[in-house]
Amino acid sequence: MEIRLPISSHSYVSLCVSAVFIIAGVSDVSAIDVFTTAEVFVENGTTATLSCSFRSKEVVSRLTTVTWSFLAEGESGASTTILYHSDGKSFPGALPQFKARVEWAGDMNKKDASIRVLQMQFKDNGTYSCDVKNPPDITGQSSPTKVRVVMKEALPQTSAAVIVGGVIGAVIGIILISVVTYLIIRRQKPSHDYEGCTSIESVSTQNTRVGKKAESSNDNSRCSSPSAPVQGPVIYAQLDHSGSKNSSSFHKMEPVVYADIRKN
Amino acid sequence: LVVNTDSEKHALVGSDVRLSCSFFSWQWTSPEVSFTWHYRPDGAKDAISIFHYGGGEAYPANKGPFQNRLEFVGNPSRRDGSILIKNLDFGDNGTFTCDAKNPPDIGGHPSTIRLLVFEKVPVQAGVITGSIIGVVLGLLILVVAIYYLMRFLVARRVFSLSMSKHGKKGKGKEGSQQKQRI
Repeated sequence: MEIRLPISSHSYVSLCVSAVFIIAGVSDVSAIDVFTTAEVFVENGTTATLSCSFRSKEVVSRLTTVTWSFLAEGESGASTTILYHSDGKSFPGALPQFKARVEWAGDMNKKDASIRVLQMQFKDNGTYSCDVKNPPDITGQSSPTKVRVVMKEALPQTSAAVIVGGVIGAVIGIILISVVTYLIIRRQKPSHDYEGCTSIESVSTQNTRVGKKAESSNDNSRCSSPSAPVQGPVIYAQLDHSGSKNSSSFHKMEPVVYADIRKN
Repeated sequence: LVVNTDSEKHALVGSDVRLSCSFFSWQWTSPEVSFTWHYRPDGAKDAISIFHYGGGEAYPANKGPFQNRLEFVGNPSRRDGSILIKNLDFGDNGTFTCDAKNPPDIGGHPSTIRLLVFEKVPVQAGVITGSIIGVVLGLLILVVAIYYLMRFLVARRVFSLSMSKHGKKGKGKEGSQQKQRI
């Protein structure tokens, strides 16, 4: 009785293990998993190694194929094949951008499907997808890798150049403003002098008008008080004008003549 | 290498649909020619592989949404990689992508086809377009007919006026004859 119990328990345990194993096997039928690095940063002009490995229950055979595709950053839609590996041979894609720059770097026997991209350029920014088919294991998803091409030590130089450019621009700007201001000031002074001359002429014209109103003595004094050389010609002109006017008034109107005599 | 598919396909629930895929290549068809179909459901971001033909043999997915429902109906030697999806369901709505490889010619874009599954087949856009064109042409013909009818009526009036003119001329002649009698 006691001996039988251990035997039955052992067989039960083995049955459970077998069941678990069978279930696991069934659930894993015809599924292939592909693994890649999520994101890669590469310096401009250098070589990028994009890793890709896969797990499959089926043995790798000559029918196993690897497809690497590229989708440029900012674009949507179907990606373009850049490399196809089948039966130990690699075929490059037709994308001119990657001509002769994509190399096979994997080992199918080790389930490694990596590639190398030479002379990485900025337009190579985008998503690279690795897709593996190991018939009859064909169900699964391709695995994407985001690649970013960056400049080597470019940022500091760029910022320094910007600073130098800014300073030089500011200095030139200040110089230009100063020159323009100086020119404006120089132009204003001559115009002011010209206005002064104009005012003197207006004064002389007013004097002549007052003369007509029989205030010649006051007019003469006003003319003499300003600078002599300016007023000289004016005085002579006024005398001549007054003479001519008196003669005309004598001929034309008699009462005017009497008024003048009385004042004298 | 250029891959060609229809851009859109409509089908009824429960029916079978054939998704066509063919390619043009400057190379002879290689024994290593391969076709791969991917499926991306509506609203999903990633596509899954549902079918693969390679090495002269077809491998439909025996797992996932199209398990046991795919059949290869193409002819690789004629560059045809079409598949048949049986017993359609609403969940099959989505975008199918066909990619063909003819080593060493493997370049080019895969081609996509959008599958829409309906209870009833909707009126095709072509039918609607045809109806519109028919109506427009009918209206044009009607306008032209009315135009010519109007011209005919106007021509009749002109004819009647010319008849009245002939009447006047007759009167003139009668007057002259009377004078001659006197």
